[in-house]
Amino acid sequence: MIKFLSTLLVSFVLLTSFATAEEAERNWDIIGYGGPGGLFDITARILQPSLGGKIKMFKTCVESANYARKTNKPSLILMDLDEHTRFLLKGDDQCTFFKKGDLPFVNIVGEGFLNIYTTKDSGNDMERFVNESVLVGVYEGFIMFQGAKTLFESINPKIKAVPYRNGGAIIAALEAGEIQYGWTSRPKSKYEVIMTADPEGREEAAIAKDYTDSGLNQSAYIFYVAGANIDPDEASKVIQKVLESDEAYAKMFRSAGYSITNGLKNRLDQRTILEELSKAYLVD
Amino acid sequence: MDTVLVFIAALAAGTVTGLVPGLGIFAALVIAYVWLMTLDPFQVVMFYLVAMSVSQYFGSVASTVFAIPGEVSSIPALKEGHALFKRGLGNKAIMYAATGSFIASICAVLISLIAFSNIDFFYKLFDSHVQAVILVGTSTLIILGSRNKLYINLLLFGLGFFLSYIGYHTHSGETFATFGIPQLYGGIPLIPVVIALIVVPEILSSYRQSIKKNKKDIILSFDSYKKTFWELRNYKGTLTRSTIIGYIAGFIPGMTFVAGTSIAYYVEKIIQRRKNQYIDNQGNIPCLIAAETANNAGVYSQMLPLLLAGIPITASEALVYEMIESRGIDPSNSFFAPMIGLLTVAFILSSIWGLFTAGKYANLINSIITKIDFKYVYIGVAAIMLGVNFIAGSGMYAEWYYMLVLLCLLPIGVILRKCDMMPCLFAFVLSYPIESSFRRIIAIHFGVV
Repeated sequence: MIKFLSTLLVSFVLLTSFATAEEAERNWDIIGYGGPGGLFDITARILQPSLGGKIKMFKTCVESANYARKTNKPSLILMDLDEHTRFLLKGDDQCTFFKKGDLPFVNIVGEGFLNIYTTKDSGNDMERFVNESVLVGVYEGFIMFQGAKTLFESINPKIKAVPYRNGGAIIAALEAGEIQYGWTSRPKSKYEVIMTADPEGREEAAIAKDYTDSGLNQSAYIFYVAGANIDPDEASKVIQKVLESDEAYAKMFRSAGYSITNGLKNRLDQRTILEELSKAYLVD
Repeated sequence: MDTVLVFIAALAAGTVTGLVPGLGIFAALVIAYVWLMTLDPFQVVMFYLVAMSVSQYFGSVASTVFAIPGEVSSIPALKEGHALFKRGLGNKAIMYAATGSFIASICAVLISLIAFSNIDFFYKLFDSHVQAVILVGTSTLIILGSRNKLYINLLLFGLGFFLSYIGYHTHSGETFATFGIPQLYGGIPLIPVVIALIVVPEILSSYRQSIKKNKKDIILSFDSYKKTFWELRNYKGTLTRSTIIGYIAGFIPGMTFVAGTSIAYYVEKIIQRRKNQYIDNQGNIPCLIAAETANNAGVYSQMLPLLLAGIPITASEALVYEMIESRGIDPSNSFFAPMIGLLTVAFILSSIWGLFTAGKYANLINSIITKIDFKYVYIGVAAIMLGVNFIAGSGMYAEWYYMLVLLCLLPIGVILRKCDMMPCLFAFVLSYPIESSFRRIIAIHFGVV
């Protein structure tokens, strides 16, 4: 019995280790937060084979930023606008890197515009969305939820935003008929996008800015990258190269309208742009 | 051939995740992620289903013999199974649990075959309102069914809620009792809570008790299994009730077989109490069968929304879903439908494997523990749990935080060792689902959160 169980265990370990044997030249860790299967997890797994280091995922941005500030290893740190904004507005720098001497930005911003989607042939079209009392499933994160609520109310005051833990929970509720629409930056291909914050590649969908003047009509899920013990310019080029040529990134993100831009030059520019975005979410 | 190797790897993964506390199926998927990404999508889904099925069999054996809960759903097996083990009825407990689990697995497949065309009825049933009713009902069952006085159960439930509330709340952006300590933002982790409040009190109360050793091995012959199956007819009410509860609860998003196990266990406990057949700390076979039966029925039914409608209803399923989608495949019902037959065969094979190896494993343990003083086993279990806590923490780069949380919670576990701590643990586990379902209901009806 012991032999049998040992053989099983060894076979499992060997099978998994063969698949992970590939080594990369660099040895940069990737630090992020959120659950497995989430945006950071997927992005980290796309980057990891080229960067060579370990993926270190934490539950919250506070833990990941705290770890990043202490690590001695070259590392990339993935941060998103949702948590960042919350901490920025509180004047708390645990999840932001604006303080002088804090970790440098790598000047890369991943941007995925948000979309309203629904089940195909359900009759839940744009006319219903702008006129009737309907329910829209939204990720429960504070900034994302408040932004969506404000935007929807500017389009149709009868719309109610309903908070869910993640995209899977929104899909389950949509399929169960609890809600009529979902709000996401990465709609699954089996669903129909009826309204988008960015018309590029979604010509069939209505454009949010045609229905509202709200500053949130170009809402996007945004994440950025900071670095630790790393040259930001070199890191920036590496990320750009990896993500632009990666097939999985293309399938998961670029096909959903995500883009990796290289527009932020320094800490001050970062702060100005992110503060403007942050204000748009809450002041609008 | 490749598929056979994946099947064997899944059996190994299920065995390990069942035996090692804290290493749930979700963690196994994360560890094997890179390897799984190299597999065919069918093999990924099969790996998940087989590993999860097998882990339930081994989880109940480890709980029964060593008082080590492989996962939250094994805790009823720890309470009832280990008490039976101390009375020299460990073999019986393991055989009944394994056989009951097997029957439930087969029944779940049969129910699904009959109900395939109407399966959407089940998952459409569990909107936020029904989820809230079930979660509140489960909490009520736990409060009423635990052996403490009512007010103590309520206080323990409150303590569980309080512990779970510590940390950073994404939905409000607010923190509770974090005191600026980065690790506390992530909240109190489950593993030290289980060790401090469930495992350590169990060991402390068992340490000085004499263990009646059963030198008889489980006889792994056709006749012995036939005999166990035959004896289970005396529990047909329990089996039927728990299979149905487990099967239906398997569709509850986010909770699935954990909810099913808890509901079936506490329903049975209340029934046994009413019949005056439940004696505290003695171990109750119908309660053990109820928990294990519901567990395995739910393992199969929770897969059906994913396989029949492309809807992931647990974090593990969401991960499997993402693995498939990242290859540019649309994981819809038309993608999964052709797999259902083969997956069902793999599930049944894994159940047969679990049924027979659980007995074999119990014999191995029996042959070792009859030769040693069980006090040393408890000391070993305590040392292993410390190691597990440290390793689990190191996986999150917070090993000393995990140890510190354990240290802080241990006095509570020691002081309250004579209490049934299940209300506290389940409140800790159920608090987020309860709170979030109520937030959704408020948003749906009043538009405010």
